[in-house]
Amino acid sequence: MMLCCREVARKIASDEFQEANGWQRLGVRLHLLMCRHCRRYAVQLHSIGETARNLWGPHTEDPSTLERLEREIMETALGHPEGGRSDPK
Amino acid sequence: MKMSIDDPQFAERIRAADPEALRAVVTSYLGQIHRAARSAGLDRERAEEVTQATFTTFIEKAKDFEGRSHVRTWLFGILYHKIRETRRQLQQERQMDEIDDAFEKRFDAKGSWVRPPQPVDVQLYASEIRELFEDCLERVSTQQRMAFVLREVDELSSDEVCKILNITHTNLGVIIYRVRNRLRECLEAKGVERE
Repeated sequence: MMLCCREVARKIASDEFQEANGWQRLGVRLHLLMCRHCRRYAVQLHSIGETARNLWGPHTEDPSTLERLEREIMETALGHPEGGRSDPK
Repeated sequence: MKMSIDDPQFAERIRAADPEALRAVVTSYLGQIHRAARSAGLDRERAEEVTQATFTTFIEKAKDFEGRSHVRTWLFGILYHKIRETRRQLQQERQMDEIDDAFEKRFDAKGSWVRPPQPVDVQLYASEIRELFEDCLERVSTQQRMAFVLREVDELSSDEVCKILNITHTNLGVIIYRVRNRLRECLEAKGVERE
């Protein structure tokens, strides 16, 4: 049941690996232990994900933009400004 | 009366357009939706427009909310449609310009380089990484981008992503696989990929 590199790469890239059962995961893990090309591939995909999280993760939110958006949404949708809270405008 | 958004009864309050419930939804998911809009390749202004439109539609259609899926799933579904509409319009607008323009500007009238291609530095600043990512994602469809971002950045379950994008698990696997490979190939070609 040896997996070929293409198969391993496909499983890693499609998240099939993440969702696989124990035996299937073991097959991929064993392959990765022996194959530096697949290892590199896996590491690269991981760092791509990390970069995406750095670019668009929760820490990139700007609280003042969100506050303004929320105010605008509530005003348009419900037809009245933030009830109760004082509005600096 | 305090109630969590995850409560089944919360759906009823949304259906009844209870302002407090609607506001709770806006407050809880505004950040996530706005980030998803930005990461879908829209500029700042358009990302804000799409975010507002998503919540406006949500509030307008609140009475149709059946509560069969989580309210977040519903919101992302609305967002997905809005982004697709917006990007379709944009793509029609810029069929030619962008890429062609950038290319043409590198040459003089005789066709010789005035701005020859530069070697890519391996040490990249955050702003450059952003540009590169955007470049590499240029030809990726809205569906592919959303699938990638929702899984990779928002770390939603594949079940939820399938519901939002209305695709099967097999579809999702293929889509994610394509986006990742496209990104990897593209970054490698630009000489950016490192171990």
